[in-house]
Amino acid sequence: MDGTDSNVTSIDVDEFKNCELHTNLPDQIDANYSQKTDPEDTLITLHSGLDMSPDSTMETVSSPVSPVEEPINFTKRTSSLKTDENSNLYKKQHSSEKKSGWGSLFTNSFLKSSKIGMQQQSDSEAEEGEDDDEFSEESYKRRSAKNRKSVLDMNMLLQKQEHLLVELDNASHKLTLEALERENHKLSMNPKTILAEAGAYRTATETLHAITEGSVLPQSNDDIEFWNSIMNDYSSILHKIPQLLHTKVRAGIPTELRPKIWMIMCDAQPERMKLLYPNLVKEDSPFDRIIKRDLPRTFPKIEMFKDVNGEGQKQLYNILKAYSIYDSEVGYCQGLSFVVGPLLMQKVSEIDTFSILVRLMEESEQKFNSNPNKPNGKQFRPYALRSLFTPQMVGLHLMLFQHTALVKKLLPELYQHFNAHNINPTMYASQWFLTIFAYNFPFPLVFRIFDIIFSEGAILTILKFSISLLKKNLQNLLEKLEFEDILNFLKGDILFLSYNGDHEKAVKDAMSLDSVINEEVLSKLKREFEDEHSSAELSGMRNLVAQLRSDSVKMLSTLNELNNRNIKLEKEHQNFLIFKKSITIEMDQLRETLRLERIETENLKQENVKLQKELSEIRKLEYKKKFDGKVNGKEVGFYSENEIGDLGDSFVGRL
Amino acid sequence: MGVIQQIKLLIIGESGAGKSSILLRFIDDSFSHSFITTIGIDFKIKTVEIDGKLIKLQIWDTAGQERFRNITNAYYRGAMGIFIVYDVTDRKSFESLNEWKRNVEKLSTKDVTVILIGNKCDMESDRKISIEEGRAKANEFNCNFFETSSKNNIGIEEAFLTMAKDIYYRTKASEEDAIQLKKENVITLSNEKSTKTSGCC
Repeated sequence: MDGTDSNVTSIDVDEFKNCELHTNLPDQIDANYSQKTDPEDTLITLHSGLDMSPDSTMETVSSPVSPVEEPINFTKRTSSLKTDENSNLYKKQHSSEKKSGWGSLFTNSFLKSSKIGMQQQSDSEAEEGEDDDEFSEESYKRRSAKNRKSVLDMNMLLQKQEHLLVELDNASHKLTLEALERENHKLSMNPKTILAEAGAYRTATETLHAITEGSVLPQSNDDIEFWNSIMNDYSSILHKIPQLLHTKVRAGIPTELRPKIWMIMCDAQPERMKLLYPNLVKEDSPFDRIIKRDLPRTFPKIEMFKDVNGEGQKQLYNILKAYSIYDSEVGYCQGLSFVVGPLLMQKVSEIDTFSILVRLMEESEQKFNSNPNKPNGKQFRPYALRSLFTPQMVGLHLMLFQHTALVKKLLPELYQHFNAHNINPTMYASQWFLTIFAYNFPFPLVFRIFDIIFSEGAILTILKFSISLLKKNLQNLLEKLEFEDILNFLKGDILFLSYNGDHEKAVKDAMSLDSVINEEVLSKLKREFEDEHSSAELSGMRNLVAQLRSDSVKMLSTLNELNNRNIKLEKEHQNFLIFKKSITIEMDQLRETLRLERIETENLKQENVKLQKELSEIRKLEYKKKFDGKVNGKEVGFYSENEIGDLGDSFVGRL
Repeated sequence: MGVIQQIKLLIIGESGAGKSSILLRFIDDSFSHSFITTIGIDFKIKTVEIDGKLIKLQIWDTAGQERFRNITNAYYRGAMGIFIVYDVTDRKSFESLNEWKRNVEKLSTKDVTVILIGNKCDMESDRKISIEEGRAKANEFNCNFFETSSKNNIGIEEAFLTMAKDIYYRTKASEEDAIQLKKENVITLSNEKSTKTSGCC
């Protein structure tokens, strides 16, 4: 791809000339062009004698001997071999594009066009057209300087490339042409094949780099334009030239542009956040305690986050706290700080990091369509990392399921090996997934993974890397026969050591899994997971129902038993009541009897007293009679009346 | 002399109680202020010697945050011994002990050995939980109790060795199928519990 990219400068230089001559371009572009005087002037000199009609310029572009394209056109194979047919095709497309205006050149070009080189051309034209608002004089000064230098190198390059050209005889021309035709066909059938060719182009570029021995090539210049165009109209690039976008992003976003490009690629909404964020930061979070606890435990060895009162920890705290309030279901989950950290390390501002985090987490398509400036909403897919961090962590379990299924399918030997040693991905991959590899792996690679996540999606990219790392270390892993040796190997950064710090290779390996790990494969696995999940849920429910049934049967029998016992008790109770009643009656009777007897006793007592009285009376009378008889005899006058009573009593007593 | 037995242990407790620090002290005999949060589950290996026999301890360290339980719960069943850790300077970590214990009862095997650990006992001025309170909790749980400090290396070796011995004798006894031995074992264990409770500071 780089090879074709390198065409651009030569071609757009031509185009600029073209523009000047055929003033059917927007004024803006002219203004642009006139700013960039130096290199063009020089180039025009180099071009002296060219026919300036559009068509002939075209031919010049595609001509193998054009001096202009030579300094930059490393892939001589591509552009130099265009036959009349191709250039006619190009002419046709190009002229139609011209008619439809400068802006549409860009948007119409890539998928339609079958020639990579030509695509590059119109791409860069569009970039030229769209950059100027955003990219100031400074950028052009930079460009000019570079161009000037490249022009100086041109003569040298010319010679070297002419030498290369000699090597391409007619036969090879023909062969390559056929190859190109095949590529064209493939491209028209499936635009993704362009990616496969990227490697070949890269090799060509590298060869030329080696030949030119470090001379300043306009490549970086071209790159700047590409990134500029992303900043100006990402949605068009994503729609029209996703392959080129992926290739560029996979090669790595320049560090100094990362904060801005990341923001744009994920469609973060800084304006909305400017209103929202300051308020969120002020609020109290129920997760405050655990967030604070985790601050010193997030990248404790990284300078930026070391200091307890340092800026790094402060920013981490603010962002995590704000997010825990913004998304109260997720709140704070351990692992999130490791997702936020790398963004801050790449000098994304605090509020922008928050905006990006919100995007990375969001699941709903709707939220992504909320930007009215985007022509059609569906272009930004949700990254949907949120479900990894919710209290049930369903997303994490899904990813672990997908990972396992991919290991089984793509690395069956390793799958067996893991099974034999009871290694399960929860043990090693949860950390990878929840921290986007930042927990274990070198940061430069983590940043590259982030680049790709933003342009291609989070889950997909993370899974590709997870499989790729296992694949790279397959032999190492298979050789280890102890559970702890395997797991220790998987948990450290040792997995990455096999790359000897070669991040390019690590990225390339992961991306080579495009055909076996893609959205379709993941969707299929997701459905399987959901089926399994719901069938597990169903069987769980069935078990529960069975359990409840048996419980209710048991309870019924207990109930019956209790009922029976109750009836029995009821009877006993009745009997008791009857018994009680009879006893009461009996007692009443006894009480009555007692009462009557008491009365009788009382009566008897009274009668007794009465009888005693009567008796005493009788005795008195008897005594009196006796006494009267003595008085009438000789004993009268010895006892008084009282004495007689007493005598009577003593008499009774003796009785 | 080869390893004759492998013992699986699990460390649980509130986030920030110092589980990973305890493990690092036991494994490496070191301490670090710059500790990284445990995500999900981690594990370490150490071989110890009991009665001249080598025993390999496979120790699983867990993330403390509640939502990680749906990952860590799977590790209770295989564990022969479980350390429940709290931070003596943090009452909340102490208050959550009952819940951790319930989790153990629910998920682990019946004969699992549990040891309660009150960590950070070097931080006397910040102490919120007295040693008596910790001991009472251990009695309630019917388990051994240690106060430890990873920083000052207090009680950690003892805690791990007590755990290892307990499990070693228990499994050995059941293996030899000697009821008598089992009884003796119970006696030693209960002795240990009363005598070996370790304090510090």
